[in-house]
Amino acid sequence: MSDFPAILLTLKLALTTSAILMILGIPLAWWLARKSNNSFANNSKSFIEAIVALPLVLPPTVLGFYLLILFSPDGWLGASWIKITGSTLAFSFSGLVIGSLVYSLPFVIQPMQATFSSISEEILEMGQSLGLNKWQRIIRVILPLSKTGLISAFSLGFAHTLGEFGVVLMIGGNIPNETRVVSIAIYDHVETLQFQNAHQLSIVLIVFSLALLTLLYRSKNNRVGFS
Amino acid sequence: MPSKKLICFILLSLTIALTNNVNAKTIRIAVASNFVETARQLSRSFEETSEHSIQISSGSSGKLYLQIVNGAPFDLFLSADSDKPNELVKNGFAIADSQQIYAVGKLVLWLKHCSTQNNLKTLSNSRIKKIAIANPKLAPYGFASKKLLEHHQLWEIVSKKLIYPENIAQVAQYAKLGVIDAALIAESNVKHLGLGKESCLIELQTGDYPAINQQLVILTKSENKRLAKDFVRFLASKNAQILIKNMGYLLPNSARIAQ
Repeated sequence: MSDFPAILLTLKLALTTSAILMILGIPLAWWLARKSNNSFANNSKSFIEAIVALPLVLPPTVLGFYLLILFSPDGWLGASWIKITGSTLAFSFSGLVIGSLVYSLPFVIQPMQATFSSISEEILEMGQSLGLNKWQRIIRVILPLSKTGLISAFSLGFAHTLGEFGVVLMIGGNIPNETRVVSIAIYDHVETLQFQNAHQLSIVLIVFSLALLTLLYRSKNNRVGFS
Repeated sequence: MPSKKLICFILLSLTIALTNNVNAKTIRIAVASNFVETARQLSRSFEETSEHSIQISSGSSGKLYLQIVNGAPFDLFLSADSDKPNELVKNGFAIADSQQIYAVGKLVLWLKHCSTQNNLKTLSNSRIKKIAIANPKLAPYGFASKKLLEHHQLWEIVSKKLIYPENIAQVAQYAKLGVIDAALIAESNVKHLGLGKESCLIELQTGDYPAINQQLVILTKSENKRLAKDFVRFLASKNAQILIKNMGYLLPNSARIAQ
């Protein structure tokens, strides 16, 4: 199948994006989840929450347009990137990763925030009174309690990046093995009226995404059954 | 009762409005994205002399083709190539003897920063990192760009720097945003975009790449075939031809082509 590199590239992009989002997202989601009585903190939290949710409501063309300007060799990010790596950020795999981080951000942050919010203060205090230090509390108490939330955050980020199209169309440039992901390859097939190929690749994407989401919901439903 | 009078008045004005418009029809045209600005200007000047109006829908030729085949209610299709009109005629979606070239596309080389020597060979310079050409598989301008680079034995040399936007309009968009160093774009894009002060445009030999023959067809399902024909006839008029030429296209040598 000539589209195999596109499938591989898409998996690589989705994996990289959701892994980075997990690492960056855990502290952010934790901060957002822990309520504070300070009204200034509440206001700034609401604002950050709004920023996190923004990619949900903005059309991909808006994201793509501003990312393109940001990535331009004349823009500050694009220029410093060229200085550091010697290559341009626009139309590169790294550029796609940055775009996907923005695009999939809410899908990772929101489930984590919800799960962290559900951990009660008492449990955390109990851990503290048992003499666990900060890291021990994170590893022994918080992470096991939020396992389901973390899994769904990762899977949703992964699945959402698989289906990314509009942003990639604008900042990708359709380069084989670098930025030609599955959605772009399907678009090419449809545009060139090669419907057979379009069907094949679409079915791969549909089956894979469906399986992933089914697994995700099954783990959630099992969890509900336990408690 | 005043409200009754009001209703009568509204009904009356509605009737007048409707009867007034009974002869004025709307011609729906599907236009390939590269020609949309030109088509807008052409339809404006057509509407000045006609009671009928024109509605333009634009997109890539491939997408418009797909819409037509699936029943989109267009009267006329201005494609960016000849393949799609051929295909439509072959499958009975378009009228065979309406098929003709309305404009011939022209490629130019755009460089973000001019140097002392500016020509196609400049593309192999290491200073040039990203070059955009329209996707050769999707866009007729892209196919012509590929052939042009091959003709000058540059394809292999520059292929690592190439990016493939989906159509020629997106190539122009990247040039305008300055995210690429060089591009092969349509002269028609340049005319109304105004691309950068330091940038330069280099004319290319039209013989170095296959002719980008943009064809039109009247669609079989159209209920306004006569009006569509009027518009096509207008496109061949002297004023229209001057406008098309000024927008950066070459004119077809003969109005009608052999199948």
